[in-house]
Amino acid sequence: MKFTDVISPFLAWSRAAKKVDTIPYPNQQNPGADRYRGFHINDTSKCIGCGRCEVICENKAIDMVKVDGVEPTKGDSGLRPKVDYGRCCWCALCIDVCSTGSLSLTNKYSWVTENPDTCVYTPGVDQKAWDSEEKGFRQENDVLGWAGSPREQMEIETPEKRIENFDEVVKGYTVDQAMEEAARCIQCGLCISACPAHMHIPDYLKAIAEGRFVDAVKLFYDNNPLPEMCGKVCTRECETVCAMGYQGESIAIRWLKRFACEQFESLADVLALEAQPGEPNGKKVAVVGAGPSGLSAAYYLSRKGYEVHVYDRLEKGGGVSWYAIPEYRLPADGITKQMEVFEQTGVIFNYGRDITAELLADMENRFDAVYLAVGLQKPSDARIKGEDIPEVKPAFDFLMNSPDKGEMLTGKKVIVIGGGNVAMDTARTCVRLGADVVLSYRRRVQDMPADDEEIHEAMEETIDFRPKTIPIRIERTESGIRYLYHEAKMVDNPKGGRPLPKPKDDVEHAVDADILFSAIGQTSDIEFIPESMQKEMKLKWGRIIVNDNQYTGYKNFFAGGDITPGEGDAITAIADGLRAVKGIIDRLK
Amino acid sequence: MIDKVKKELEIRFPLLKLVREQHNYLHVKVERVSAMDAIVMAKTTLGFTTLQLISTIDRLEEDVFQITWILENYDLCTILLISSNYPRENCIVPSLSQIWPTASAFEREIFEMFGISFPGNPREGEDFLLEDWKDTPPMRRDFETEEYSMRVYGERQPREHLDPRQYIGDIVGEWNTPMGRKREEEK
Amino acid sequence: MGVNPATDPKKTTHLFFGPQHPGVTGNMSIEMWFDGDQITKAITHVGYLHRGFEKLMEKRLWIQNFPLVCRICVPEPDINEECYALAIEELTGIEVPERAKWIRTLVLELARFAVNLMAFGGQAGTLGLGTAAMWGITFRDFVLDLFEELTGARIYHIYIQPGGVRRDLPPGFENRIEEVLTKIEERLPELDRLVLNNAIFKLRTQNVGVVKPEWIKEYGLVGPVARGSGSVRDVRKDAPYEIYNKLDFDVVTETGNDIYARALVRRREIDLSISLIRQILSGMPEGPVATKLPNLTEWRVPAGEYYSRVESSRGEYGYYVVSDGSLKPRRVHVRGPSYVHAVPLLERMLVGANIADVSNIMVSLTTCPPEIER
Repeated sequence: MKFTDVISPFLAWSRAAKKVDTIPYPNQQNPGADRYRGFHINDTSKCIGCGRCEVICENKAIDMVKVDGVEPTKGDSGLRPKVDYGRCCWCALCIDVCSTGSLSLTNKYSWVTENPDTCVYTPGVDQKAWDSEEKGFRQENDVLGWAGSPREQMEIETPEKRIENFDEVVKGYTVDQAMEEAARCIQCGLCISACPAHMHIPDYLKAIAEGRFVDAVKLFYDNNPLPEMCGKVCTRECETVCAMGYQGESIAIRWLKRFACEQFESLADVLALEAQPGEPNGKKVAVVGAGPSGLSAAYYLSRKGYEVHVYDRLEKGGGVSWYAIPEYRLPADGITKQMEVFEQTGVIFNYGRDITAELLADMENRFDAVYLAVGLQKPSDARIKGEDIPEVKPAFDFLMNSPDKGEMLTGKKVIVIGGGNVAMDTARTCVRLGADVVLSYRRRVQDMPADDEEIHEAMEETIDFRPKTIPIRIERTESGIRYLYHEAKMVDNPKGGRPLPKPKDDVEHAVDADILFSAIGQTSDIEFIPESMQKEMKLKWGRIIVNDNQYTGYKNFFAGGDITPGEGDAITAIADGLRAVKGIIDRLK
Repeated sequence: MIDKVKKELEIRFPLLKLVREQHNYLHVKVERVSAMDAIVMAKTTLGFTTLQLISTIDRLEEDVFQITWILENYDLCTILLISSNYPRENCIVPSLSQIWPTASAFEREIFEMFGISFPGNPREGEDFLLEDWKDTPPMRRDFETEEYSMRVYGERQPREHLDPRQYIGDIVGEWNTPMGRKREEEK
Repeated sequence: MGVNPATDPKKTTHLFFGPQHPGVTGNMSIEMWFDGDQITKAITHVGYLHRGFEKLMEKRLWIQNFPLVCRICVPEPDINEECYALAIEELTGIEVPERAKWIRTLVLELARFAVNLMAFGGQAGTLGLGTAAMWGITFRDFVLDLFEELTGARIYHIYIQPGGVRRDLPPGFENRIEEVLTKIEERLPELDRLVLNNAIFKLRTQNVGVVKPEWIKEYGLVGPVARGSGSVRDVRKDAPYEIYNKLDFDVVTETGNDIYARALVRRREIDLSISLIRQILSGMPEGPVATKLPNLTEWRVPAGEYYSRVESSRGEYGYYVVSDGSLKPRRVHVRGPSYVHAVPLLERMLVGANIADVSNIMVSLTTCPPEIER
């Protein structure tokens, strides 16, 4: 003990003359730091109502609720998070996992109210003083990556290798890869709103993630009897709305469906008792066309106990979606595995039958109901001068006649006109047959209706893309044909919608070639429907207009697939088939 | 150091199972009958003079309690975990309170939380955290917290809430299919 | 409380100290028997803070436990996050980027710095020297401002995550740390004059609350309690985690065995933290701060058991984490140093002590009831 020890504590008084450290509230405010975890805000226009915040909240402070003015649409559940500040602990896990990044915290932390019940509110919907606050805790997904993750990469054949043959381009997932990829699903169910057939996507992804592949296949067949085909060539609307796709990559739903189907040699065995004919109810239904729509209707009607007869012009089931799609995307031998299921379900197939007015009249008498799912038969006219030259051919016919088994085009020069999947299929098939291919399309590449993946892969395969080219005419030359076009510029469409291509100048560009395939679409051919029937049905541009249950308005006739107006893809056709089944069951009660 | 400890333990307890080994960390699993011997040996001859923790894991599926003693060699900052399984029914584990003064408190807590008895602990049964607890010991896996709070404090009015996945399914008619798979909740 | 006093009830006073008393650290109580003003027997009672954290952790996803574990310790939440994250990383094999390790060490040191400032001032506070306690709290507040800027919260940071940290340092953050360090460094001599060079403090703390060196191994004493009695135990040195093996420091140790020695250890720890923070800031590498985790709601940690340890301001702190390979932990057992400091050690130390020294002794052990009753 020293004498100074008695004195030194009094030196603390020196502080009395200095500035205080205390903040003199309320005269001086103390705003939260730039990253402060304060009150919630939600950009409701960006929010998709996936409910990820609700799931991660360990205090159950967040509820997904309906709000006025936000309706459920494709890719948006219409629900918005409601926060209970009696439970919230401001951990901000909800911010870091928010799939769109719409939810944030502000740096405001003071809220005085006489009514504690108001401390439960829906951010972004209920007006609050901090709604426009700029500062606060924001998602930084590039740092954490909790809101969206990259896709499990699948092995794809290199462009150099794949143009040599018709082997499948996509190799498929391994078991580990598939389970990992499926485990990325956050089970929000937005995909269901986008899938025309409303497949149970979250449920089968969960089944795959947990290794229950049989369950996954059974879930497919609940509302899609062609899962393997869809697993390879579906337009996958589901993936466009996937919550994981906003800040990462969407779940590979299509590839996972394909994966689950490929785990089994026979789908009929997997389904076993779940693909048996139902208790016969004595009613008979005819299905015209063995494409996706017809097969779907046939499968479920048969399961419900109807006697179902399917008629098709071709010698095998599967429809154009199976035959026109090239081997490298959809190998033809897969059809047998899928058709087995239909046979096991007791569907009776009548192949090689031309659909005529007489047959239709006969059906009307012999069956309780008829489902027309004939698809589109006729290639559209290109409406280009010179399209009657024999070297100008419809791409669709070329694809239908198994080009991989036909003659080679080595050294030939081919022009393909169009930007849809048929154009891509044709171009890529010709490359595989050894031809030099030029692809001409009126608008920009991003306007092409074909799948992005298809376009990308086609570009890799040495195809000469010429977007923004307006055809003028096709001429005959000594050795072949000459295709002439204007280069286009894009002008705004006065009616709205996509910009229109207009010739940039008068310069005529020319390409010499041996063959030209026109792939600008298909139109319907309904001549087989007797006029008396046509009068009773509602028709528009050669297509049959139906109600919500696919009913045509004529007797017990239903129609679906491409013969009715719609998206024109397989999954929509399948969905039509499902609706028709409901319609037929209701009508035949 | 750890190699030597491992070797000596293995010589003495041939049935010992190695769980994890690092340069200053060893976790072994021994038979129930040798657990006390292993602990005493670790303390007296291997230099693990400090008891850090006694922990219990309720392995309900195997019908055993796994007791883990965490010992530490103070001079070398080395950890030794010794685990052993005891049957769940009327579980009795020997007390270490005669060897370490700290053991008593750990054992009192385990007695309350798991209902495991440590004969030889002079303060066994003395209240530690819980007073007058009559229910299943709360840290056992078969004690359901939610069920308990419902039973004791009554159910609360559930809040308005919609599950996006089910809600979307309802709106688009996901379950309105011909074969009619049922909605999750209705199953 | 069915324990009867050992001595004659006519001569002894029976008193409950706490759970609500400004002299008690946290909500715990001590049941004491006095002969005059000498304590003849003491029993620690806990349970006033029991919230079933460990049970709750078994019901939550792995990631959802981070907002929970930090709540086990108010002054120093980061050690809990660090311990839990270390265990998960060991079980899953997730790698932590180099920069994240440096940032984690920075956060842990800042937290230790803040808690020692508060504990050092608080030690004087128990003797009625309120000014020193307030200054300690004020200094800590400057550090909390830094935490607010870095993590978004002052107390419960929820910043350390498996595979790294949640956010990178904000721009210019290093300068702000340096400003705060300089400011506190300038004012620490004032605090020293008020606490260490104070006749009252010396009289009340020297040779009071003696921890005998032979108790260290017997009880497993750690941290300033052990280091005030000549021990050189420090997990940062003996079993380095994160980047402590890249930092240059000596373990702080004193040989006084009494409360004054422990206060001195905390005071020197403050200087050590300042030095370590400066070393970390000068050596901080660039790079990512977090490893990508799988889908958090489907995240299964492989089955296994691990006991992770870090050095907290109170000493060695451990988490015994058990996974059965499912979405949720099977068992998380928190082992804080207060378990032995506040129950067997305190019960022993209080016997023979003066009633006026109870809170003094308790604060010098920095007992923290949430560590006992998780």
